Amino acid sequence: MTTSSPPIVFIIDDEEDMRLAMQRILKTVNLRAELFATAQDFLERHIPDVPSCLVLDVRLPGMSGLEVQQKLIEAEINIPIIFITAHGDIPMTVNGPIS
Amino acid sequence: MGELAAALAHEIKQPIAAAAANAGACLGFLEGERPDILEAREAASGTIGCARRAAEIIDHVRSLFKKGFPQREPVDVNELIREIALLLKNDIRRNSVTVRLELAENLPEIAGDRVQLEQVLMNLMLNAIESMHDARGDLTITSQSTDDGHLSISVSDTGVGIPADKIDHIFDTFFTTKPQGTGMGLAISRSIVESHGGRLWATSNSERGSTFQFTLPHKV
Repeated sequence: MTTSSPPIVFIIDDEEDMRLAMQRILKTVNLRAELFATAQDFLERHIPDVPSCLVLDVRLPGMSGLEVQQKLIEAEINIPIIFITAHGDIPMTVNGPIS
Repeated sequence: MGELAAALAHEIKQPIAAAAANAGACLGFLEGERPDILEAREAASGTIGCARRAAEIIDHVRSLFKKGFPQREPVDVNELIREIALLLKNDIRRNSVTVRLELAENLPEIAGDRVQLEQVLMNLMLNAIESMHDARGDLTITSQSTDDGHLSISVSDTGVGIPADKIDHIFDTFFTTKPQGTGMGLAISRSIVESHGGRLWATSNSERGSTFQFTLPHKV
């Protein structure tokens, strides 16, 4: 991993307003964000070999955030994930971090 | 109306959260060593846009509840179905449900109480979504015109279904299969449909889940 390349924060959220607002917040601390409306869009994107992390809504249409995490693990794509949710529960809290 | 309130709360919360995030970004752009006025301006505009959307949702809700007593006004049932599906967007997403609307074109309007009929659709669709909790189910809503002068609307799910020994009781007041159910939703829904001259009933699907169907007579 080359540390000289600028890091990227990937954001998957189906609400456009929320994607843009998160992108702005990251920009205030000079972080570049790439936005995706669906998990499918993100999974089709080739993830470059630069420092990166993924901001993921637990609940997404079509494929849940936890399923996205599973797919990344299966594809051996090792990217830190920050889960965001307005509806956390105990199974989710346990399953997310352990994976 | 508690379920409706919860759905509305979600719908309104989203643009408010985005507005707050935009406002936070705006402060961030202004506070740095070298404030970025252009970016701050963009973020401020974003805040206004989100706040305006929240206000529009509230205006819309107010217009829904303006009338207190039963009305008989022309109602476009397809429009109603689309509206409730939009309102339940968050519940649909939370439960990873796929929604299919199979709505007949050129459906005649019916004479009815818009708010009450919304409540019926809301109840049936929420029940369907809850029955597919985290199961990535399909919610199918159909509308069609029947030969005997009725509209027929069905709400079909691929959820847990209704046990055969319970199906005769699900419309009874205070009967519920849900841990937090009040047993009021289906009872109220049936009384609303009947007050419109229609019928509401449930059947179990051959494969999985159940279908709730109701009829409403056309405006003459």
